[in-house]
Amino acid sequence: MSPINSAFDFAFQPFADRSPLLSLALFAAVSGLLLLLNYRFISNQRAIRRVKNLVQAHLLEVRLFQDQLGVVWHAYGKLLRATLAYLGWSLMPLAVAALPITVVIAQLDLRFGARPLLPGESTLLVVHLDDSAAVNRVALQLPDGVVETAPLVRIPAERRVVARLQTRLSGRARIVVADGAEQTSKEIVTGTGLQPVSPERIRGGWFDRLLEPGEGALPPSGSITSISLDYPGRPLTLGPIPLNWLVVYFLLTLTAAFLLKPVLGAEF
Amino acid sequence: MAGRIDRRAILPRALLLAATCLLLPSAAAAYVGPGAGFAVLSSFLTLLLAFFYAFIAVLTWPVRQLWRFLRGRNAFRKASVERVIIVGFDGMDPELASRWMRQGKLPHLARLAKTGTFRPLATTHPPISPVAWSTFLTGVNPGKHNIYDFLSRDRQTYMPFLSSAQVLGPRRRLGFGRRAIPLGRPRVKALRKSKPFWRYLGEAGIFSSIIRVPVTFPPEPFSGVLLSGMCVPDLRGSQGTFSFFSSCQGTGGQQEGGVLLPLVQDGGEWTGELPGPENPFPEEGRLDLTLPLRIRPDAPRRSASVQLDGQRITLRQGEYSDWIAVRFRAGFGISSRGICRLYLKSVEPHLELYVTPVQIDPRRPALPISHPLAYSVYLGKLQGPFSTLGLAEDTWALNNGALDDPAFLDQCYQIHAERERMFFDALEKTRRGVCICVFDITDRVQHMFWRHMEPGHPAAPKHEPPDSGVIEKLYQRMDALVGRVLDNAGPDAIVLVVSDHGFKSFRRGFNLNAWLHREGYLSLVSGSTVSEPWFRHVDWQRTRAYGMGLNGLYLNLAGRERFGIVQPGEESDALLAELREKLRGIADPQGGQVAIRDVFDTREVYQGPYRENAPDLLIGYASGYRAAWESVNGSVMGDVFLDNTRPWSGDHCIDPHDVPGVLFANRPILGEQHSIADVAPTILQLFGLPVPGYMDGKPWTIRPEPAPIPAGPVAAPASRGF
Repeated sequence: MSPINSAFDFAFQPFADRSPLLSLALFAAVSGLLLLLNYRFISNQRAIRRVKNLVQAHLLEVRLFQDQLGVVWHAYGKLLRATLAYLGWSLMPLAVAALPITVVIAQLDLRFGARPLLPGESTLLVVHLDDSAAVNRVALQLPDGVVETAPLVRIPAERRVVARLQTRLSGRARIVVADGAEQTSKEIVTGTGLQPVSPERIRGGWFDRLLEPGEGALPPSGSITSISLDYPGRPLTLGPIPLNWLVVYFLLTLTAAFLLKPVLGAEF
Repeated sequence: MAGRIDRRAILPRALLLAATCLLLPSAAAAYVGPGAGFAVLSSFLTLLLAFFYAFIAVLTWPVRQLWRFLRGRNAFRKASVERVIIVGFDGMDPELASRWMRQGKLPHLARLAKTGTFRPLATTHPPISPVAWSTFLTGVNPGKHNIYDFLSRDRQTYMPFLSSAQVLGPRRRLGFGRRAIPLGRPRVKALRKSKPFWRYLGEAGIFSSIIRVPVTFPPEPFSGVLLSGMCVPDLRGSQGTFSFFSSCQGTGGQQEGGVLLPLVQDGGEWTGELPGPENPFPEEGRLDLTLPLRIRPDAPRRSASVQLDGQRITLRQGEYSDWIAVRFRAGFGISSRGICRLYLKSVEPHLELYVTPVQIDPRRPALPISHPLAYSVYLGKLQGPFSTLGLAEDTWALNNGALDDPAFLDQCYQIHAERERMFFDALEKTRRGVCICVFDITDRVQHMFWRHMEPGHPAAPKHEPPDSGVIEKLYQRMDALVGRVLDNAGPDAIVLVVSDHGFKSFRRGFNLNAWLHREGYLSLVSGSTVSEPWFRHVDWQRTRAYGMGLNGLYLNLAGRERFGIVQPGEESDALLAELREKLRGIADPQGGQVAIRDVFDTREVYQGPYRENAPDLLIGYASGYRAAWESVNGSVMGDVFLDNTRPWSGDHCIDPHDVPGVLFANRPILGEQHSIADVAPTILQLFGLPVPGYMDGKPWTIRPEPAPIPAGPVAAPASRGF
């Protein structure tokens, strides 16, 4: 398990049995604060303030001189220039935040993007291969509590093997996928609460693992390129309204940042 | 797998943010997260708003044009000109301008004089800025616009009040225990009467940009933009109250136009409290809201670090800070926002810090200082905070020693630079219509630096050599400004350069109230030999006349003043005649010069419905004289004639015939007699609008083309009589 995974597991431990929306809100607030600090100390605050004032001035210019089309169109040009300048001044803090935010989103997606299977629930396991001949070599070794509910479907044309499984266990277990003599595995998680689940295990280096941090990379030597398990989505709802976790996170982060902005004296 | 995202796409797309988010902001935001979301959201909203405005503007433009057409408002149909630009230089003197034009120092003004017009411009009775500019913008005499001085007097209390506007509390308050929470903003009541000419233009569909014309506070709605000038108060509601902090023991107290405040040592730092606006909950303690101020001096570096309202400002000695936004909190979420500048006067032997009057922040105006309200916000956002106070150049601070000459001059030019920026922005926006800007620096610098130009002046610098070129350089700066305006105007626009009055030396003060007391017209309560300001010890039951303001003399008239004893009719007529006779030609015992050239009966010089609010007599001082400082504020003390030893050493509150303003134009204007009252009707006529019959000014005849430039050096014609 990578240190990043460990850190996030540790951070989420107190929220394992709590409302996902609450834990997401807390993480969004912390993210908002950190991003605000990033803007406060990394960006040229004076320049951002100045260019934002210009943007507002040109907006007012459009309103104040609306009867004079020449002035209005000129104001649009200046407005566009000021907006581009504003984006330019935002690039530095954006560049600094891009990688950490990528890590955070990947980690949050492990927890909020899908939920573990419930005991008795069925799912599909899909093994992707880079060699159509290997399709017929693939065999599964299922842990206790996980059963095949249908024979393996082998699709050489698409270089994949699909298995329909049902889980009766509770907790984490590994399904061994054998390609002839070579063996690898895929984690299956059954249970409730806010647990990280890895819908897909892939090949690749550190960067791919950064983006799919749930499990280690598949060995590059075998024919298996990825193994995916179809976990159900984790529904976040606000009353009757279903919400995408990323949208909620985005809006809550912005809200937190707006609320904290006057406290930190940051401009963005 | 609802809710999942393609994580492998995050980083590459994040790096393409700048381009992507412009086109697909919501999609980009979803990928790169909230960091970019900050930028994207603001930019996206900006663009959305902009295009919404654009859409509305373009969509409604034909409708608006059609509406205008249907209403017969083809604005420029009868106009003989598309654009008129008026540059106002408060107090520019024709005699000085003529002198320096002849010497070739004012080439642009001299060019106007040669190819267009240069004339003295008759001013008002009295020749005081609020009076003259009110006449400028309304085209009427003071009897019709009701402004006779900076101050007017309450007939019931004999106390002064600002003649142009009255700031009232909010209309409603919410009782909350012992507190009354104000609901809404303070209200401002305009006291100037009559209608500015730009309202007539606006009604005809002609746009105007009016920048800092005096007595335009509170701003009135019309078709155009306006930034109020002279008479805009500071956050305390005064016409400018500076704060001067000093570590010198014994510092403290109120001064004219300012307050001296002690600094208290706290370890290596000094602390004080910056006074702000009135506390809306005075029963809870202090009368004014304050902000703590903390100064850490650095003597070896001759600098100090000032902490004010959460901001730390480092200043070197002799340096001004930028504008600092401050917020005075009263509780219950009520606060007042303002702006001020700091000036570190000295670090040793005493730490001395000057703070400008805390002024209305144009970006968040506590009172309306522009029309539309958003115009000051626009200017504030465009060019940064700027001075909004009516009398922005702090003459009182120099008069009282809180600033020295270079610091005052520096302040004046900083303010002037702000005005220039907004004026040229207005010129850019006003390609058709009228664009006016009044620059005050000419008035303030002449008031305060005349002593440098005149050897033997009682206020001439004693410890350092005079800088006799200050006013000349000022005129040269204004000349350069005129040059840039002419470049901007092009050949088709009419450009007028006007001033409201000229300038003369102020060497000696005439103490009118002391004279009235000496001559038995003004009596003090028994036991008093002098009276504190605002007639505190005057016995009104035995007083027949009193002086208030710069030129006004009032009778204590029965039925008008609360304790009036002079009966209207024969008695008052006789008293007025007697006073005129005694005052006219009165001679200064020191040198025998005539101090008062003329005394004007306002029944003769004013006509109009508000004449009854005017003083009864106006004192027309001779050049070199003016009302003494001791008299203008209703004090009764001291000698009748006094030397003026204050830096305020030039003035214009004298006989108006001695201090005409200037009129320059880039077209020949026919006739010999021109008055400031003529400007308004002239503008209306240029745009083909009828001149209202009540206007006292007469429209000028302006030739459509400039005269050819004669060969030889450009100089003002000598025949002007200067």
